[in-house]
Amino acid sequence: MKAIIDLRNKGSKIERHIYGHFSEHLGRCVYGGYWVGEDSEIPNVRGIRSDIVDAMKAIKVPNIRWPGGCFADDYNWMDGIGLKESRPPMINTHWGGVLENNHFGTHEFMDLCEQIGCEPYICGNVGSGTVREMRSWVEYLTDDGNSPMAQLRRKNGRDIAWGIRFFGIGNENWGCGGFMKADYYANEFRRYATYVKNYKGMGETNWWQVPPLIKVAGGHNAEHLDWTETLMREAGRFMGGLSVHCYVKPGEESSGTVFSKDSWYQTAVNTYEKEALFKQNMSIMDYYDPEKKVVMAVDEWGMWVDNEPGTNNAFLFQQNTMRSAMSAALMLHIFQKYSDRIRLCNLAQTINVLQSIILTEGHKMVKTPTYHVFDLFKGHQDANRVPVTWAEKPEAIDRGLPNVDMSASVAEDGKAYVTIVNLSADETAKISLNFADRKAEKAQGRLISSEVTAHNTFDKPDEVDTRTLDKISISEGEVIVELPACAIAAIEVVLY
Amino acid sequence: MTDGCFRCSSSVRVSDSEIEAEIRRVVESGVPLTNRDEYEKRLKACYACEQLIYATTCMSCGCLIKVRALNALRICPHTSGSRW
Repeated sequence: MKAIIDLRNKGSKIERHIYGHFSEHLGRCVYGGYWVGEDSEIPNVRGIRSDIVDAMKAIKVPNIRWPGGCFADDYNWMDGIGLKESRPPMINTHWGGVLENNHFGTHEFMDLCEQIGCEPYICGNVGSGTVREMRSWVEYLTDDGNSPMAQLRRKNGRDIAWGIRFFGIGNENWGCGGFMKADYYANEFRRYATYVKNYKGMGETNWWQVPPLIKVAGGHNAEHLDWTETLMREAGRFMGGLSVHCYVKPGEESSGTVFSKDSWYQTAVNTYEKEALFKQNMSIMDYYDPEKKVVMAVDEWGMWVDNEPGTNNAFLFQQNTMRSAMSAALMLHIFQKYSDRIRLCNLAQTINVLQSIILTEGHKMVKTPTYHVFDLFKGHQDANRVPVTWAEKPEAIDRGLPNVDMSASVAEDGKAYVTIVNLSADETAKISLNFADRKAEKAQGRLISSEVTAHNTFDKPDEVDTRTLDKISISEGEVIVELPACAIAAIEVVLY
Repeated sequence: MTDGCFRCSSSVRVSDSEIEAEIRRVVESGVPLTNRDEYEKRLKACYACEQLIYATTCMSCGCLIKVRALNALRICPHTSGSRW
């Protein structure tokens, strides 16, 4: 097959924030994940586990959404500041009745983001909180002046305000965030959002010149278009973003690691089906916001499989395999395709929960196949999308799926970046990449490839790992690639 | 994540019958099992460990201790070294 990647058709920027992650106070994502405490024997900086920070820096994680999820609408941020021994505990009612000691609060989360070098995306409490609580939190985070919250922050050891860009006004307020009706939540969003302001620089310039926060309205799962319609109609002009959640299930074979090739193909189908739902949501957004000012924020997405046997079910500890990696790669291709609207996304949930990029067990840490997908895709960050057309189309395989899925971008330095998924579980794929009026001068690639059920464990942490793509060459200005079955590859091309 | 999720309503309090079902699964899987003395020694260490929560679960790995301790191939994941 032959793909045409014509850089003259440069499209919208692929916002790096579509490669973000979501971390909730759930199971062992925060406690037993990021947070080991200052006294831990595991190497840490101020209680935050260093091997995790290093791994996340290496894939250029752009943002983390926190503290939930459902937890966000039960969370009082004031309980998570000040001396740790004085912080009141709470019961995490959404996630198994766990006792939350609030040792990981605002300062610790912002420290985590600073250590990784990523942006915070904080989700506030609409379900059980107040406008004043949310307003105070934002003042605490962003005010460099002498407001009461800035003074409280200084008392707690932080002089300069951190500054934030992304702020969620509640989460899933149709469900765990208060079981609100759409029109009621639209009003609540307008009320809360009025008082969520960026204080950073407010005293130094005219208020209208202060960059506004990107206020993200709580959305529904992708199939609930009525919610999107009401929110956009009633509150669209007050929004920076509208959240849409999207979980992919693998079909009947729901085990995380034991399944047949049938489930591999069904998962691909189930992932592709989400594109139609996104398009329906986007068409509503286009009607009310043709200039695409409002970001579609897929701020919870990923595969949802069975919890690992023998673990506490409420912890949602799940393994992930090449099947999960394939689903993630297809989903990222979809996000990249609609990069003019989809500009903020968060895979659920980073460490030890759902489709994690990292698993921990005591001092051991494992990078999952999904981690390697984000590593392979980092070349697309902030590049411009380039549509892929086909001179010779991919073959149809099981269930009518194409054997190959591809996405391309061009970076500021002029290099082309192409990611390819070989969806066949059995057959290699030979692909020519033609760059229209340009010729390839140099090409190199990396990939992951294995059996569909391959995954990394604490005993075999490198079963799935990135390696150099050997079967790559240049012929008459075209890049020729041969991908093994069940593979995800990233190719960087220098052109003249 | 309340719509269409599998186990949002799960409690961290795991019932005896759930643990027994998991123990049966390990026994039927054919993995080498610890003998009675070793099993009890392991559980004794777990019950004395600060990583144990809800009297059932190891916070270092998320496992139900009665299930993990039964598998002879498994080690204690405690950060300061195995307590088994």
